[in-house]
Order: sequence, then C-alpha cells, then structure tokens
Amino acid sequence: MNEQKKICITTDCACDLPPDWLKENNVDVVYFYITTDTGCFRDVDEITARNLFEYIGRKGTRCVSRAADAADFRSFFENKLRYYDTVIHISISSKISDGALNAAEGIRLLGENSHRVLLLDSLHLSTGMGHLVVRGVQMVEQDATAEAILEELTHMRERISTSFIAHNAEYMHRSGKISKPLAVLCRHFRIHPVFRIVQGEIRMGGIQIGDYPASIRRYIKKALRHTENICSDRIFITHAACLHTDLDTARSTVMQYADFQEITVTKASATISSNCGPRTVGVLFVRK
Amino acid sequence: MFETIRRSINRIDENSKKVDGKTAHICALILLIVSAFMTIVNITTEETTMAWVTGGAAVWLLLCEGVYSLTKKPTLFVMMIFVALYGMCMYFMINGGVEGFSILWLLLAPPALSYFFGIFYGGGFGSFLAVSVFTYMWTPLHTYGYPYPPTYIQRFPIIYFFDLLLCLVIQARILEYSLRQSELIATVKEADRSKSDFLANMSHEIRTPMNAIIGMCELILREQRISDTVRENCFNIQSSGKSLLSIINDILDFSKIESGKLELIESELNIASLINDVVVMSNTRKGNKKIELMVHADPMIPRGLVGDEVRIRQIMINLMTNAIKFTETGAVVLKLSYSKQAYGINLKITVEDSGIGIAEKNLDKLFESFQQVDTRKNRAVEGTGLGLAISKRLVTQMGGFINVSSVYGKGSVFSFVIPMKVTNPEPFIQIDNPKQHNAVAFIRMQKFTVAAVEKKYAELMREISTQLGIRLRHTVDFDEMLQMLRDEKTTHLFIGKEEYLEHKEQFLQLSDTLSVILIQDMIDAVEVPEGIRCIYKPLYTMSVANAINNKSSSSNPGERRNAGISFSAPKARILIVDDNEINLKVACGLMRPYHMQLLTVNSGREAIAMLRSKDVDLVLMDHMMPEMDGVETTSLIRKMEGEYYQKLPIIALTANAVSGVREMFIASGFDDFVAKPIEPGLLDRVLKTHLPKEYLMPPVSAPYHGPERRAGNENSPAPHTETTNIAVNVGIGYTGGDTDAYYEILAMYVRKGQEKRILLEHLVQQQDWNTYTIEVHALKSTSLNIGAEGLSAFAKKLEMAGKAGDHDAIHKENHALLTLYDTVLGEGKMLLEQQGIALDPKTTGAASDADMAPISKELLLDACTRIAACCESYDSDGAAEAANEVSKYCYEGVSLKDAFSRIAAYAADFECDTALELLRSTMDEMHIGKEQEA
Repeated sequence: MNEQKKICITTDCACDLPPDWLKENNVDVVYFYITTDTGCFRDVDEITARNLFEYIGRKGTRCVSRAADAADFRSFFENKLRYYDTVIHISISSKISDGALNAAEGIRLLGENSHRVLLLDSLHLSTGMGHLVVRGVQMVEQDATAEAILEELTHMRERISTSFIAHNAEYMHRSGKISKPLAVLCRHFRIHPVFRIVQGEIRMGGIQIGDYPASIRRYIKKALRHTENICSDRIFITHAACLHTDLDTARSTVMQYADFQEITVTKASATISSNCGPRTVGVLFVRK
Repeated sequence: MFETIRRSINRIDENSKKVDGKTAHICALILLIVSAFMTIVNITTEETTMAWVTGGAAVWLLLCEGVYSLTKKPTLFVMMIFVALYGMCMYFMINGGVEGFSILWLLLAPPALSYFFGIFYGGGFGSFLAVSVFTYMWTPLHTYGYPYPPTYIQRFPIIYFFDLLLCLVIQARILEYSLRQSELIATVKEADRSKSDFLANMSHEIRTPMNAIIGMCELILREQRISDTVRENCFNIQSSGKSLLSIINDILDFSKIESGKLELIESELNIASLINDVVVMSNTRKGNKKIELMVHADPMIPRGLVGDEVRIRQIMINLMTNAIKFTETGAVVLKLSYSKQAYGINLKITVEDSGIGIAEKNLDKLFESFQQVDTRKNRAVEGTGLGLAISKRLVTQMGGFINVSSVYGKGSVFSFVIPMKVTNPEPFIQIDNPKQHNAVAFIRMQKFTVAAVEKKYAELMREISTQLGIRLRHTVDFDEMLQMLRDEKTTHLFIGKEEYLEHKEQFLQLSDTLSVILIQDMIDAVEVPEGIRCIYKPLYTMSVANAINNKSSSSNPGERRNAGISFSAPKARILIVDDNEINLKVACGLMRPYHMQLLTVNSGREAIAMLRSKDVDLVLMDHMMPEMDGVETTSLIRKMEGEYYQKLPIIALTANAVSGVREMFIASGFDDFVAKPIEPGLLDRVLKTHLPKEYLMPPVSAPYHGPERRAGNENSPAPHTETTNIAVNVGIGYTGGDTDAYYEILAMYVRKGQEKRILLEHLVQQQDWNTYTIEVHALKSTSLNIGAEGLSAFAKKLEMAGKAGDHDAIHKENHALLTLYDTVLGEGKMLLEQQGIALDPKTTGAASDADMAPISKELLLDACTRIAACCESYDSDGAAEAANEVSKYCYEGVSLKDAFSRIAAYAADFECDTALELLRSTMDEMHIGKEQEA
C-alpha cells in the first residue's frame, strides 16, 4: 500500500481473512488470546483452531479466550498513528466479545490522539466482519475519506449474512450459547444446529438432521435463496477444521446455487472456533 | 455348563471374594426403596402383617446403612443385607403374600444377587436360598404355610434351581472374560516394556559401534597425510554414520515419547548458541544445493531463557533438514520472534522454504508417525517419517503448538511456539552505540537466480537495519558504493564474495579507513588478507552485530567450542571418586581444560572422609566400586548433617547407560549421570548445569579443529603406531585429544596389568564371582580407555555372564580373556617403549619372584620344545603365546619372566630366528635339554 495514504484499516484477528491477503494489503490485526494450562497464546499467530481442538481433545478441558485489553489496543493504535493520520478499526460484534469495548477504552487512553482512531462495531464475526475490512481497504485505495468509509461500512453491516452450521452442539453448549439437554439431543439424533448473526448476536437459525455433508448442502442451499439479492463479488466459506470432503461439498454447492466471482475458503481463528467446534462451516456474503 | 462353573470357582481369587461397598450400598438402597414402597402399598391395601414385614425390612436396612457408615466393613454390611433379604424371601415363600404371588419374588434373587455381589457371595447366598426352598417345598413343612397348588410345590423349586444355575453360568462367563482381559492387559504392558527395553538396549548396542565409526572417521579426517580420495570417502562414511545414528536416535526418542518416558531437562539456554548450532548444521546439510540460507532473529529476544536446549535444537534441526531436503533452489529462512507474556515469553520459531510444497489434503497427516507424503514423487528423498511426529510431540510436551501452511509447488512454512521463562531480559543481540555506526552493503541481488530470494534478501537488509538501529544503505553498483562512502562518513562496508573478487585491491585499500567485512559461504570460502574481516552466511542480525561490535563471528567454525569446552571454572573444586586409577586419570584429563581444582579419592569411604574435612562444589562419583559402591556412598553423604550435603551436586559415572538408569540414579540421590566412556560435550553440559553460575567463566582452551580445516593443520596430533589390539587414536579421543594423558594412562594400565591379571585368575579359582564381575567390569572400561576395544568387548561379555550367574561361561572363556589381556599388555609395553616411556619395575605391581609359581623341569622342557618348534615353523603367534605362558613361572627359584618375555617379544615381531637363538641360549644357561641330547 502507498505509504503516503492517510488512512489505514485495522481489525481483530477474529476476522478470519487469509494472512497473505492481510499482509499484501497492510491490514494489521489485534490479536486475541487463548489461555491453556501452559501459557497464553496469540490467536492465529501462535495457536490455530486445529491446535485448539487437539488440545481440548487431549486434555478434556476448555480453553479460555479473551480479547486484547485496553493497554494492548492503545499501544497498537499508537504504533499505527506514527505512520497514518487516521485509523479505522473494525471490531468483532460487541455483543459477542469484549473486543469492541476494550478497543474503545484503548482509544480513550490515547488522549489527544483519540480522535484519529475511528471504531466500527461490525456486529458480525469471522469473515462477516471480513467483508467490511475488504470493502474498507477498497475504499481507502479509492481515496475515500474516513467519514465516507465509516458511513458506508455502517450501512453495509446490515446487509451482511453471517451464518454457519455446526457438526454438533457440544462447543456451543460449553460456551453457554445452548442448553445441555439440547446439546445431548443434537448428539443423539444427529441434529446439526445452524446459527445466524442477528443484530450482532448469535441466534439459532434452524437445524439440519442426518448425514453431515447432506446437511451442509441443504444449509447452503437455504442460505443462498434469492440469489438476485446477493452481491456476486465475493463469498467466504469459512470453516473450523473441516474435512476436505466437507469443504468440497460446500464449495460445489455454492457454485451450484450461485455465481460468485470469487469464492474464498478461509480458516476460522481459534477464538471463533472455540465457540462452534470442529467441522463447523459457514457461508458469509453480502446482500444487495 | 457345570465345567464352566467349576473352572470359575477354581479361578476365584482374592479379588473376586472382595465386596465392593459401593455396590452393596446401591443394593441396600434399592431394597430399602422397594421395602418402603411395599410397606405403603400394604398399608393402603390393609395387608397389616405384610406391612409389618416389609416395614421391618426397611428399618433393618436403615440399620445396616448406619452400621456400615460407622464400621466401614463391607462384608458385615453385606451379611446384614443378606439377613434382611433372607427374612423377606422366607416370609414371602411361607406366607404366600398376595394370593401366593409373592413367592415369585424369589426368582429375582439369583440374578440380583449375582449381579450385585458376584459369583462368590451372590452365588453362595442364592445356593443357600435354594436349599431353603427345596427344604420347605419338598418336605411336610410347606403344609404349615400358604396352601400353594400342588404344581407350585412340585415345580417351583426346579424352576428356582435352573434360574440360579443360569445366573451362575452367566456370572462365571463374565468372570472368565474379565480375567482374560486382565491377562491380556498385563501381556500388552509386558510387551510394551519389553519393547522399550529392547529398543533401549539395541540402540545402546548399535550406538556404541556407530560412535566408534564416526569417531574414527573424525580422527582420520584430522590427519594431514591422506589423499583427497581417502578424505572424501572417509567423510562420506562419517556422514552416513551420522545419518544412521540420527535415525536410531529418532526411533529411540519416538519410543520414549510414546511410552511417556521422555523427560525434558530444562536449564538456562543460550539462544545465540542454539541458532549457531542450527545454522552450522544447516550449512553442512545444504552441501552444494543452490539454496540460500537466511536467518531473521529478533534481537530483542531475551538473553536468558529457560528450556530444554537439546530438544529445541532437535526440533529446529528436524524442520531445517526437511526444508533443505525438499527444496532444490531458492531459499530456506529461519525466523525467531517472540511475544511478551506474564510468565516470560512465547518463543516462536518459523522455517520457511521455497520447496515443492505440500498438497492441502496431505497436511492433516503430516505430523503422524512414519508418514511421508507424496511418496512416489519423494522416493529420492530419504527419511523415516519420524522427524515431524517427534517434533510435534516434543513441542506438545513443552506446552506449545506446531503448525504448517503450504502451497503445493511453491513452498511451506513450519512454525512452532513454546512458552518460556525469562532469567535475563537483556536483548540477546545488542550493538554498542548503534547511532555511531553507519554501514553500506554492496551486494548484487541479481545473482540470486530465484526472484523470491532477491526479495527476501532485500527484506532481510531492511530488517537488520531497523532491528539493530543502525543506518544501513544498500547498493548493487560499485561506483554508487564509492559515492556513498564519499557522501557520508561510513564505519562499516559489507560486501559479497563475487563483489570482493572483482575489486580486491580497492577493498584492501578501503580497509585502511573503515571496517570492510566480506560475507561468504563456508563451503567455498576464499582467503582474505589481514585488514578485511570475514563473516559466514547466513547473514543475519547476530553476525552483523558481532562484526560491528568487533567480535569474531559466531558462525565461524574455526572458532567454535573446542570439543565441547564452553567455559572454565578456576574457582570450582571438584571431587572425583573412582576405585580405578586409570579412570581417575581419564576423568582428570577431561577436566583439565576447565582449569578446576581437582581432588581424587579411590573409594566411597575416602570420599566421605574427604567431604567431612573439605568443601567441594561438585562430586563425580563412580557407580561400581568394591565394598561401598557409588549409590551407597551417595546415600550416606545425603544423610550427613548439614544443608551442604543435601545440596552438593553429585554426578554418577557409569559404563552401564541403559534405559531407566538415569531415573535410578536420581532416585538414589544423584543429581545427574554421565556415561562412560565420557563424551566431552556431555560432560561440559552436565558440569555447566550443576556448577554455581558465579564460577563459570569464558573458556581458556585452544580453538577447535574440525574436519572443515583441510590444510595447514599444525595442531593435529602426530601419527601414532597402532597395534593389533590397541587403537591408539581411539584412546587419545577418550582423553579429549590429550596425548600425554593417554600415554600416562597406558603406562598405568600396563603397570597394574600383571597384578590384575593374576587377580582375575585367582578369583575364578576361588569362585568369587561377585568380585570377579566387578574386576572385569573395571577391565572393560579401562581397556576401552586405552583403545583396546576387543579386550573391552570380551571383558563386557564376561561381565554379563557374571551378572547372569553363568559361571560355566566364565570358566570356559576366562583363559582366552587372560591370553588376550597378556597380548594387550605386551603391545602396551611396546608402545610405551616406542614413546620412550619407561615402566618402573618397582611399581609395575608385578608379582615378585617369590610369588611366582615354580615350574618343573619336565614341563619347562616340554614348553621350550614347543616354542622351538613354533619358531622353526615361523609360527610367531604360537611361539609368543607359549613363551608368555612360561614367563609367569620361576625355575629353581629364578624368575623366567625376563628371558621368556624377550623371547615372546621377538616372536611377536616375527623375528623367529632371533627368538629361537635366544631360547637355545637360555636353555643352555639353565642346563635343560642337554641330558636328552646326550
């Protein structure tokens, strides 16, 4: 990116965008942390979703994930402000994580420079907020002003569809999103819950029953109803330690029911994955 | 069916007779609930008598619970439950209950009893109940109770009997399966242990000769007077040997990890040394491949970290080896970074390559053992498939995580992160006064054929500049470089090899006014004149920092640690305890480069006495010593009063380094152990770990001369004569290259030899097998120390026989051992004579004439005849052997040693004529043989 640009876009590591893309477009991320019994590790950079699942499988205990604290955010923004006039930070939904709250506090701690950092609560997670980041970067390259970018992204977040299907409800139960009897029911009857982000919150968006690849197909088909209302630029298929067969099914189903210019498969971060469990896959796109 | 029950009863062991209190509790609870419920039902249906019975049973069961909670005796509890149960069953049977149906409850008794109480108690009680049923139903007793129909009277006992039988058979089967499963589990565990022991022993047996092969190649490579072909072949043998050793080590490591026996040894580690070792290894492995090795190391990584340096190095080497293996051209980049945490740091190490990459579908199985992906394509690439599996397990054991990402056809990135404590937060790389330095780099990037490498190098230069805080300008043009030097005052100029060769004279001139530093590969390095300094690739922050700080580059192999000597400790006092003088000599020789104060004693008792009067900082304690061995001595030391004796580091020295021995020593009070023959590098590590840190100072020893130095090696040892049974250079290797020490040890070995020899013979005659085993154990290690490997191996064989109680084998083989021992002593003596080292006959420890056994005239004549016959037929070995035999005796009070030893020596030197002549003159002097002639 041109060093003379006055605006930069930053986000949380929970955006689940490909690391190469982030590096190429100079988008820096604030790391969340996963705490195990041996240490505290930066999500995406030091620990991945696969590591997390292996650890939980081995130890049988849950890991604790937490957002960066206000001090981390402050030093992060201070560093960025050395090279840019304005920073637009796109955070994970404030109703799902403390990331936005801590970011706001971090901005406050900047003191007289706090007006140079603009915070946008994405009201989404994973590549749902990733879409906002991509669009933000595009607008920066088009020399849009910070206010225009913020306005566009604020309106855009209402049009983003973030949903995912989980293989089982165990992890959702562990993170308190679902009751135990329901989780047990899902396990015994091969029920695969579907979750959607509605107004920044994770809510049940239906269920699929039976064979998991077939359930993925049905979920995607339902999600991609009314393709005339869907922006065909890009769709993200984001997964947490899915099998290749699951991913192939998802990709082929997306291609069957919609015509996107770009289908990008990305891996979910450990923070996101710790809530939904392995073999979770989601299709995230923007509506018109 | 009966056979099954009978077999099970025979196999009832103590475990089956035990009662599980918890199970009995559940049974009592169920009965209590049933009784309570039945009581309520009976009350509501106005069955008063039944209500009293069931209520009484409920009360009794409550009492049982109370008794159990007080006494905690499950057997008593069960008996009380049986009383309640029996009472209820009998009442139901006699009373009939509700229209006679209550008797049907008895059919539930056998399955319930056998389920809850097993075949012993359950079956026993069920059988007792069966006897009661039969007795009641088939005798006139039943007429006093409920009037059952005749069919009930006749058939109920039979049905009950078969009910009981069925339950017993089922229980018997369950018991049988359970016992079989336990046996299977025990067999599997035993097999697993045997496998681990086998692997440990086999690895030990294989590693010992492998070490000899590699060590000997090393010694050959140090020789100056060998041809290039021999050098190359020897190097190839050594490389193959190292590869094989590496595979064996991998297998052993894997086995240890799988069985949870691999321990991490955490200590303060030197991150700079770690990087250096990995870089040197990588350069060697790279060979002639057109790969650029690069290192990005964050200079702010704390200098003092705590971790298992050996294992971290192992993981890094695994990843680097893989990267180099699977990359033909391009770059392999090693990156080290960190993130601060409350407990210290997370150290992240990444290895990135521009190799063939890995298909996404194969990424999942990459870290599984014995897996190599794309085996058809990678057929030419060697490997066991254990490296990544071991790496992953090690990282997991360290509390970290390992990851891989890859693009097929483009390259891969392997990374691992481990949490570490910090002991010294100072950055491990620091530039003295960075603002005062202004550097220029004249390196043409275009010479790198792969564009990605060019880009990486440019990135590396920028990073070095930023991280070190120095100004570093880069140019690819010579004239531009000169202009840069004119424009600003420059302190350092970094140049590439090709650039240097093009403008040698100019750079030499420039070196008068600024520091000119040549960056080149180790493999085809050019010599540089004085004034121009040299650093070896890979170029990275540390090598640049060292160059700027005017320190020698740590990547220069000529300045690496000398055979593992990484420090000196003049203030340290070390006590070495060994009953064997030669071993003491070896240990002292190895400790000499550390300049420590050494005290030596020959026994455990002396060690304890010494420690009472003098303070030392560390003890090296031999394991196997007569009277009081190392374990007993250490135990007594630890019991001595005073904190000093608890904390004193005691290191075991042992020749028996098999699996589990470390744990045994630690459990016995030792702090660590070193296997004999002592490997200098390992000794260095152990000393460094256990000596007080304040005593450690920089090493004082001479630079290490490795195989890379091919010419002009003035310090290499002069050639030594090898004999048939003594590999002198191997022996010198065990003294850390100290030739003088070796010959001292050899002299001591020869002096003590005769005495030891006689002792061994005596012990066999006395059948003192314990002492014999200790003595051959000592002979094993002392022989190895002088390079008499054959004798050492033989001694080991008899040591094993002694330990196994195979006295027949000792009887059979001892003579052959002693014969070989004699030969070795003879050869040792010859070697010493060649070096001009005289043996003091007074201190040879040889038996005096008076102690020698006398030989009769007939026997002497017979022996002389045999010697003469051998000489005449030029059988040198036969003549020497026979003469040596005779030399042990005296004739008419005169020792035959001198004369016949000389005869043996001449015969051994193939001078049979001279030997024969000497024999004849000796016979003349002793007047033997003339009567016959006459």
